[in-house]
Amino acid sequence: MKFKINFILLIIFTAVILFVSAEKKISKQEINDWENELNGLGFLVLKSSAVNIINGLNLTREQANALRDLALTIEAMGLPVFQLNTNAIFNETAEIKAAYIKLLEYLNKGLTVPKDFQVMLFNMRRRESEIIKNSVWAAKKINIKNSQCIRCHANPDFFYTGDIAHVETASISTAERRDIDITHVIGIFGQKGTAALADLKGQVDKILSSGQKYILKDFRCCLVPPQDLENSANVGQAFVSDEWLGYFDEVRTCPDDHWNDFRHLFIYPVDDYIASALPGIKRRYRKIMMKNVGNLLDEIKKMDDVDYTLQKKMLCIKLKDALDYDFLVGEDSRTPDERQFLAAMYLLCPGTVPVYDKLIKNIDAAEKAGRGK
Amino acid sequence: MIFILFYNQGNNEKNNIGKVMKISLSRKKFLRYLFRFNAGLALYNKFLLPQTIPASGYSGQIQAEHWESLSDNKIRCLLCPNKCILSPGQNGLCYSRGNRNGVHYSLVYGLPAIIAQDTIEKSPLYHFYPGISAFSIATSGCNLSCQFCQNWQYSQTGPENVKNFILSPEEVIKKAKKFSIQSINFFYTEPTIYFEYVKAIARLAKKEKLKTVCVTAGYINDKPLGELIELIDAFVFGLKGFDENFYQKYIGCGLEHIKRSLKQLAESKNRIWFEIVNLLVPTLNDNMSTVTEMCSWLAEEVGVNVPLHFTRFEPKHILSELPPTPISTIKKAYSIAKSAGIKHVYIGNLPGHDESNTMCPGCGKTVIERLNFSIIKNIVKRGKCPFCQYQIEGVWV
Repeated sequence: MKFKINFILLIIFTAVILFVSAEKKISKQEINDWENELNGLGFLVLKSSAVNIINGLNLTREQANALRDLALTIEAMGLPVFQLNTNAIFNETAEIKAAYIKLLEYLNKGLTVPKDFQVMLFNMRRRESEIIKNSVWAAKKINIKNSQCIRCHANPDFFYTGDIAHVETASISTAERRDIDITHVIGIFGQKGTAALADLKGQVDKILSSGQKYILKDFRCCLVPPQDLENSANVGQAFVSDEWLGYFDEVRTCPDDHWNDFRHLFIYPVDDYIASALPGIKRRYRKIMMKNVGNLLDEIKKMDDVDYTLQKKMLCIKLKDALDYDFLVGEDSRTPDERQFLAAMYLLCPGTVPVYDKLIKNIDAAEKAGRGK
Repeated sequence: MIFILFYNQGNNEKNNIGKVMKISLSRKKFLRYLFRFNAGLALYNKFLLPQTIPASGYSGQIQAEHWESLSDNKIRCLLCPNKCILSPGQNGLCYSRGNRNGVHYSLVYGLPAIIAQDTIEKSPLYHFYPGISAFSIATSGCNLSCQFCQNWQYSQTGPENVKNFILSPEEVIKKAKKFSIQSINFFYTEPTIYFEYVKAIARLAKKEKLKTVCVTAGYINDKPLGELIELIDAFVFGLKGFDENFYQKYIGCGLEHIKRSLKQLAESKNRIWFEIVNLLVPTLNDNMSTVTEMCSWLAEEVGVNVPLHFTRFEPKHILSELPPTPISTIKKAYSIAKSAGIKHVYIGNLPGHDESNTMCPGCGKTVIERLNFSIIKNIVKRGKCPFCQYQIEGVWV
């Protein structure tokens, strides 16, 4: 009897062990869906950035026309990856994708993105960052042998269920970073599209002025342009000094007597910013960044009104330096060739032909309205 | 107890001022309201009241220069061609100067409403110590009323309606030195109207070897302008158009006087450096035949060595319905100025275009590259082109 019970328990135990350790099977369809979703999100961010930079470069009619022609060449290739699936497929990313699609609508219409939508967008961007981090963590854990995206970005079935913010992922070297960038570009544009962009990069370079190339040199993906697109002084950059100035002003409203008690509350939003921009950042780097920001806020608190007003721009630069992550994403180490390629990638991104059409229409309308003849 | 309050109502303000409303209050209620009012006042003073509003005892008033007494305690201001005649208590058209008991006062001395640290290129000044930093300063008020003013919140009002800093001329110099700023720029609003403050700062700046720059529309009488020329190192002259009707309708003055000031500056070229800026406003002053006329006049009367900047209009103030200036319009104006023989022509407020770079008139090569008021590359050595050794016009490090 005792043997019988032990035998049954052994069978149950073995079954449990087998169940727990059994690798979850992922169907080909699931892999394709997840890959499409990841590339779709990447494409939406890229497309929004492209709209911002095209409208922010102060292109002349001739330049806009020439770039439109090149964009048409890419469009004519009908690359399959750009057939964006707008349906909600994964619960984890459905809201994010919907928000990015809505953002594109605003940008395509040339409308100012409402403040509350920007806040929502920031949260979505942060959520996306966490999903990417989680997918990288899960991929390392399950070690899928596959040549597709899922090799590095596991699908949500394998995600860490706790708070991913507290989990550290592996470091990436500059060389690896470059390979990752190339893989991502191929992921969105495919081999054929990437090769076409590489072919056209010289032509794009010839169309642009030296100043426009300088603007594009350090351009990073940016969802929302700094202010509305009508302001020609805005070039669609990701770094927004106006936002930071508002933040500094808030810091200065905190009464001096309470600064030490509330200081951490003022630093907290920066932590959020770091989390969304650099999901994989190491704890020690994050700590250094937070310390730098804290020191800067202390400096801002101590300044008199005149010094603070005079130094506003300098303080924004200091904050940018405190949050500098060039050493992680490697923009500084881009070669001239890579910079040309990236300019072509943004300016010829599929779906930009209507953006050029609208821009040319606006240029014509403004010329018609003026008397500059 | 009976407590009397004055009150007024919305649009019928004038009719209701002075009417009284009787409210019955118990002593206890009155004391409670009084306590709340005082507590609110204390909190307001502590946290909400901007610290830079003039403290008691400092009014920003200093006796003005360039005026004459008239009968009945009236005065006539002689600073600008407006020549305001003011009764006691009245302020001038510029909002910043007023008659106080028969004496003319500047009301904004030491009370700048705008301060900022900029690059000298923002003025725009491209041939005067390129790349140095500037302490830009401006008080409220203006003697003109440009309908497209970019800083109308400050220029079309007096010091009582804006947040001011209290900053003596000595303090301006001290702050400039603290942050290693090499130039004081009187910018953003018209410096003519805070003439006394400009002069006091400029005198101190000279002693400390700091440069001074006036960004002006030139609506100032000859004598005070002469005094400024003696003290200021460089000017940026805002020539807003070249059409009398345009000036009368949209600027609030006549063009002839502006041309006279510009000629006065041109005659002092050996003493000062100056550059001209022309804002092209769509449909109002962007007629290319007028631009051609302006460029020919400038080349002939002012000189081909004086840089000319065409800047892009951004919809602002009363003319906010207008579109921004088309890029093609600015480029056409650029070509016209070049054809007129002006050596250094620039386009501004339009980042990313090569026309904001300095090209050597000798060999045509780019010697200074700029973006957004910043210098990306400068290969000029002591004013000379490194390729052909041409001495480029300007004041160089």
